[in-house]
Amino acid sequence: MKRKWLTGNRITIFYGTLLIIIWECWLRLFEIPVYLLPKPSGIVVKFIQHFPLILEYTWITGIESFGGFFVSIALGIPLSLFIAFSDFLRKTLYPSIVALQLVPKIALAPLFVTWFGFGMMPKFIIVFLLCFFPILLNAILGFTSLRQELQNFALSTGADPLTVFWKVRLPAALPQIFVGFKWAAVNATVGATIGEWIGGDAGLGYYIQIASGDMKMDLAFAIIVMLAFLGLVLYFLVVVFEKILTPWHVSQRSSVHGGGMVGMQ
Amino acid sequence: METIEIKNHQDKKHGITSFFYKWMREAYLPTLTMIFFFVLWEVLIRLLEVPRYILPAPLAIFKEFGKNFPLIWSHTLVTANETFIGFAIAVVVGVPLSICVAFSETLRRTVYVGSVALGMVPTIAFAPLFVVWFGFAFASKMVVVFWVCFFPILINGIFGFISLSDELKYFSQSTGANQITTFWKIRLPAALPQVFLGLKGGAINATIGATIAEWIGGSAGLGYYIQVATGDFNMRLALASIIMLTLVGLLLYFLVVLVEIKLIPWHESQRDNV
Repeated sequence: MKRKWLTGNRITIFYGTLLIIIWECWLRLFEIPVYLLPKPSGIVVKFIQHFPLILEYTWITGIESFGGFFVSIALGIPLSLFIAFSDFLRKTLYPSIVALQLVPKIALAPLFVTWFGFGMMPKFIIVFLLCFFPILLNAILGFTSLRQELQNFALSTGADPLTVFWKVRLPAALPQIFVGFKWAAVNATVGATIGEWIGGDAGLGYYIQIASGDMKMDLAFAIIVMLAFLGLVLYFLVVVFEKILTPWHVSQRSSVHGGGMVGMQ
Repeated sequence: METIEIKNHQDKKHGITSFFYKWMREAYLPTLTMIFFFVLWEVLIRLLEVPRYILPAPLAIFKEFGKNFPLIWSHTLVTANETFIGFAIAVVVGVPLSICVAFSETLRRTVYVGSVALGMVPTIAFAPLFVVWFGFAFASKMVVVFWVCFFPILINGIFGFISLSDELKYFSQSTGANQITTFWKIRLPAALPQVFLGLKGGAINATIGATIAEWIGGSAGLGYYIQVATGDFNMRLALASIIMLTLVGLLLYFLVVLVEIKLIPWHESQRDNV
């Protein structure tokens, strides 16, 4: 298993290592100053040197992004059910929500900082706003786009609506719902970082700004690595839950919309 | 059947009236909802006497928008410049690169894997570094916009160009078409919907990138102006600037959609409710 993975990714590993070696040698050879581009070894050294503070700030940014993410799931999924199963809400509220999707919500960030101060509250709200819409819209799409054959089949067995929901509609919607979750997971750390840039005195975003302001690019890169790691933890948490909740084979999962979509908002 | 005939009849006779009827049928409820929310907002603010530095009423925002229009417009030009040029460079670099990556095994194993990994981490985290490297003027904003647009465009482009269905590939080979003909006639048209998915994602990211870069270090542009206005507790002006920022984003988005409609009129995404 491990050997197979190694041979399959031989080229990736080879060129990845080559890139890091060239990067290191190039900077050493031409004595490029650290404020232009840090050496990979320098990034590692800074990461270890400042590890306690980085860990402390990771904790703060982690709470902000995970908290906002889970609140948007807790509110987004029930609301999506209401909209998906109410004809009235789907005709009135749904188009407005789709329109809101095109507003750059991040632009509201300075307002939240003014309203809620420099603490954690504005960061939670920014993360929430960035996560809420992908979750809500994908869940509505998932719940409403059940194949007609499946629905007719379920009805023909004489199942009541509740059973149809639990046995057919929900499992069929899950892949699309998880598209929204994954998208939101990518957005969560972005929201927390930007919230900290606007007004904050703690967290990885704040620390990146301080480090780059001091021209300590090696430290800034080390913090970005940690931030990326934090985002990946949330992302893979979602992937693990997806594997558990949709255990059927990938080829059997219904094809989902926007699968290849990568975006911030 | 009868209703369809009547509708067609109307289409032929007076186009504008039928458009109005169609609009009445499909869009009146969402429009009413929007109007309802704005009225509710206005009434609540007036009733509860919410101070305007907390949340202004919609009418006050529009009044402020009209009053400060020249200033907002000058900042709009700055942001629009950053957004459009950064986006254009991302398209010009990203789409050809995605083709190269799709056709080279080595690049697919290196650039593709790397860009997918970078696409999953918050790319915007590099923004303060770009501001330090490229200064507080136009260049750093353009680079940030490029950076946040580039990855969606590249990743979706590669995805589009490599995922041609086998049947189509074999069919074109069976006709004796050479590589270049296959590319122009089959692979490129088949990839376009996915490519445009990336372009639309990039278009949404573009204004956000410009705004954030202006927050970090800037002395002009809508993002800068939003921050100044909120710092002054002038929420009316801040919200007016956000409306303008949304319009800039929408303009870019709909330009992309317009090109998409021109280039792939056959695709199913174009068939219903464009």
